[in-house]
Amino acid sequence: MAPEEEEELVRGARAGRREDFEALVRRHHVQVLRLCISLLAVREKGEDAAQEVFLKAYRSLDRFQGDASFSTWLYRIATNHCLDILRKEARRRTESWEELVERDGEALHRLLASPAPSDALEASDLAARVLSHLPEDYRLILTLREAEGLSYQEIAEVLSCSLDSVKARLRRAREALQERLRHFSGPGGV
Amino acid sequence: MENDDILRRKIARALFRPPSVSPSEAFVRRVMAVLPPEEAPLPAAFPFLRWLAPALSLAALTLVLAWPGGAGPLSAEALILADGADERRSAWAFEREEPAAGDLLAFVLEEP
Repeated sequence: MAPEEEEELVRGARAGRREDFEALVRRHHVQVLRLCISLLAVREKGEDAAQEVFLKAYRSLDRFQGDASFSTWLYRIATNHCLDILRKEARRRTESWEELVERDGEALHRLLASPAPSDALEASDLAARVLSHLPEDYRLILTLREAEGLSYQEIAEVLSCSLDSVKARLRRAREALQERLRHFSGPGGV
Repeated sequence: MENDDILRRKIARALFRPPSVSPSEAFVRRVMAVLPPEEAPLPAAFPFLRWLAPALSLAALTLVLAWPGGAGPLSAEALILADGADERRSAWAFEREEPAAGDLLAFVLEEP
């Protein structure tokens, strides 16, 4: 879709034309769904969050300035919404890192040693539990980079920060995660 | 110790797998179904209705808040203890609530 066409749809949606907003949802829902599912790690939660994101976007169309692209603006709403959910979940988390290691240390070692990504539900659940021990902003920036494949520039636009800040945050997030997982990545595992 | 770059790639592969998501008309319909209903457009001949109702409400609220409010009637004890400067208020209070003979007698008996 050409940028002019998208601008026209945004103008139409702001003027109250629901069919224009529907075209925007159809155009962007895969990206938003993927980001929400990646961040929240559970498909159903991700789908509910993505629906909320579009509802928030519809209610905030008047505030869309057009300084960034519509997709970047949607990404911002999605990241903020998912961060809120992750923070609430972190407050409710009951499993400590030590408990996770004791219960699933071997599985974690196998997950990291596997040459191909596993689609098994257990692997996905374990990955989500490991990531839940990271600060939410680290988890967000790592997901944007590693799962979504966004460039540093794109991440800077989504998070409304500088390129240097993106690099620094990514480095800290990677160090924090590597520190936790270093013991599980070697040949001997735990 | 393992090279950090290899470890980084291992972690990314294991923990950050992009989920498979395909276009879904069902999702689009679900989103459209939860959008708030369209507002009925106001007749073009009366565009001032958009601001008239809130303006009138605000004016009414301002009047209510600015109106001098009267205090309620004073109690018999408060009137007896008062120095009698506010005669208008005492008169108003007694108009509505005459002290009973027993109340006055009790007051006299309590005097030292």
